[in-house]
Amino acid sequence: MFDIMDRVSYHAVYDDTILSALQFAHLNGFSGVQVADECPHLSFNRIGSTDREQLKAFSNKTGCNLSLHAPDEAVSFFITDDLLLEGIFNYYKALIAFSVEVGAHIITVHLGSPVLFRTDSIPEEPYPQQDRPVYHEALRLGIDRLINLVDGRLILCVENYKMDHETLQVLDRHIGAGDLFLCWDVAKSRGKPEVQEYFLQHLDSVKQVHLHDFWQREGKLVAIV
Amino acid sequence: MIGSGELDFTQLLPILARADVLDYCIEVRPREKALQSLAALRRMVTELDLEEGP
Repeated sequence: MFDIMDRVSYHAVYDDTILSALQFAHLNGFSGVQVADECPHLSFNRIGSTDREQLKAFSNKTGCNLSLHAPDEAVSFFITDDLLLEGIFNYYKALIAFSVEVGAHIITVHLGSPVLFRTDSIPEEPYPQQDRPVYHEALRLGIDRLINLVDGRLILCVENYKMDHETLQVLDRHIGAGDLFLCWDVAKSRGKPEVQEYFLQHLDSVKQVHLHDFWQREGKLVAIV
Repeated sequence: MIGSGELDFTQLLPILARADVLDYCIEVRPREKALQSLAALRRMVTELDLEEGP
């Protein structure tokens, strides 16, 4: 049995450092922080060995948890170019090593999405259909590769942001297998009944939830708050 | 802030409470607003009698 309120963290974005975010969390009744690694001033790559030791020590002493959120489109699973992929997976490798080193418990990723184009008559045309199997394979291989890098040392979560029927199909063979888990951003799943239903059916695999609210007008999102 | 919009947390939280969620991350910024959201969430969890998860 656990108390939900013992598992509530906040999203560290404007904090000066990861350590100061953990200190704020500890002082104010949060269980930890999720670090926005897309913010340069919070990027793990700028943290030296002494500060890493401090992070781990503080986390161990207080029980404050650290989780990391990888950047969005910059490390997309819809990148298909080998040279770009090499950089992306070098990034993931370093992110995982840092997380293990400081004792973080969760890494959360967005899947990304294919690039969209406009035509002279359609404001936003879906990606060229001949690329569909290429994207599908890139996503499949990318997920496999990331799972292998994590190697069970952390909880790896994929967030529902931009998930759709196709991405759920690719993810499905891992969900429930114990090597890939779900992060449910409930506000971002609004208007996506298939995604909502999938998450409800796989609640046992939901290891992280992003909590915020939203406003919409005439069925269209106005703001996430 | 949590509870200020259209998401029905009173319906959502009992569902989530059935799962072994390791981290409920309040993605409300800046952190002072996250802190207010934490208080709002605590009130909801108490009112819904959800203090204990699975």
